[in-house]
Amino acid sequence: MECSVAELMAVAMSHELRDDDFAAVGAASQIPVCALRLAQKTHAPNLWYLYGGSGAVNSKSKALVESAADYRNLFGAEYRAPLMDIIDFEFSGRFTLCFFGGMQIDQYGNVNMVCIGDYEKPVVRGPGTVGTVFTSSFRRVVLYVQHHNPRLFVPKVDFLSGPGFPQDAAIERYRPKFSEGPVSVVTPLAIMDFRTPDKRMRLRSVHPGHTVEEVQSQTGFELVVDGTVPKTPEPTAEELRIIREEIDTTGVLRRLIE
Amino acid sequence: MANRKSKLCSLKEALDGIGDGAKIMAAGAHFNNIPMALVRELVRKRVRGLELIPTPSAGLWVDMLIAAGSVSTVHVSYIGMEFLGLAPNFRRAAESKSIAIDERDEPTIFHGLRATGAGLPFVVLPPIHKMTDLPSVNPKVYKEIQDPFTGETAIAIPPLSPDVALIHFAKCDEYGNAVSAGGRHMEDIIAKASKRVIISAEQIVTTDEISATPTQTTLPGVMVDAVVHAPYGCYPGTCPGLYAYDRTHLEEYYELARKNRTQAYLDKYVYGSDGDAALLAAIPEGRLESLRIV
Repeated sequence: MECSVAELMAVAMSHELRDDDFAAVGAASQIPVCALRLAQKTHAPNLWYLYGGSGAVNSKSKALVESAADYRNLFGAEYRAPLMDIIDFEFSGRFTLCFFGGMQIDQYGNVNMVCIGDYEKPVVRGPGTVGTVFTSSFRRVVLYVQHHNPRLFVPKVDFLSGPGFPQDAAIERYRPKFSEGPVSVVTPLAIMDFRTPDKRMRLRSVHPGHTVEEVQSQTGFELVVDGTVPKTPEPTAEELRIIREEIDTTGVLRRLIE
Repeated sequence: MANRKSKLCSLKEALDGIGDGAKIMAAGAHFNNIPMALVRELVRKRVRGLELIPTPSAGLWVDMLIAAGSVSTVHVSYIGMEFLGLAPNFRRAAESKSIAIDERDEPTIFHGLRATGAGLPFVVLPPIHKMTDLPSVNPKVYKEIQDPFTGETAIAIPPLSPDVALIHFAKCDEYGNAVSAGGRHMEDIIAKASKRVIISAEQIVTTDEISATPTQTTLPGVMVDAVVHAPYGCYPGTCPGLYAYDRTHLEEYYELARKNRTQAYLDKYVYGSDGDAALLAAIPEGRLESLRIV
């Protein structure tokens, strides 16, 4: 069945969610929001999820809205979490999974939201760290981006705002015991993970219509490739039906990524 | 018997006394519940050298005040325009160093305010910031200390104390008892930390109406210094429970800002009148009605 790349990403991200998760997303998060809703409607009926900004818990709005901070996410929600709850959950490990994006992501899963270039003389000043420090304290972190190119996937981030896997035990010891750190990276081309001895990014699967060589050429560092890389499973007809009829009724994900 | 004193006043009166260099905080998250009528009045005041303390997710109001030339320092957690992209005036000012940046993040801004509001000398956090570059670029905020109970490393952050807080509500009474129809985000945290709290509301209601459902009051008037009646006070952003953001108008702002022509926006929509009369008159007929949330 024909599907858009954003729909494919949403389905792949829904497979990262477990039935006992309490998940969180930040602003402008249509793909992860769709993933959460889909997981709850399929394999994870006991999933809880929270949208930052609006504080909506278990939102069931009829269409995907472009802002997670939008008040309208509270339609059909079960609770409005004030920011204090959210920050408490972030520090204490109560959130089990979070979806995060970034301006740059490096080979050890570090995330940059602050600047491109030198901090003192930035070529691009980004929005800032927001809550990305919590990539260290969510139990699992799924990174996702709507672009996949060598400017985004860099060997080393220009500013470290969201910790991945530090190659220094003296830094790693600051990670709370309950946190696994980044577990996967979902892009329009492929899915990566960190299942390597030194926690370097590994190519887990390549989306239909793309090749390992293409993904490698669009990545600014060498991806670990072990053996034959499988294709990312395509959404089932039932998953697509649920997305289009019950979650993304206005077709946002069919238009989101060119 | 003496009368209880009303805090109701005009936009202009509410902002009286805000001078150059004041530390200003405005509530809201992204385009949700930002006190834009109060911010526009602050732009019209043409003060200089403001130190802005935005909420952890802010954009439009910071970008606008920077374009107006009112800002010298911004405390940064997230300054951007969410689904529209980076904040153009903030980006230019940061890259050209015409403003100073106090590099922070969500928990540091939140807990800095908590420290002031709760009367704490500082707040201690687990050492996760040591895994980032924040302590190295802002060592005066992220201080490494030793946990006196376990001997482990911890991070101490200082109190954050705005001089003035600006907050918008769906409704309030003349004494400042206020109701956010979207529920509490952090308006109470902001108010407790700020020396002067100025609120605006879509509707001024009687205290009897507030007293009928006191559990729905999200900010008590005891923390409020001035009350302004400001219909469409969040426009072009969302006022929870009442109207949605105006994407067309936000795009107009964004396009002008990207082209470094924010002054044209300000001349048309902000400086064009006392209060918001020019803005509201310039919005095409039917647009405001179409934004209403039932």
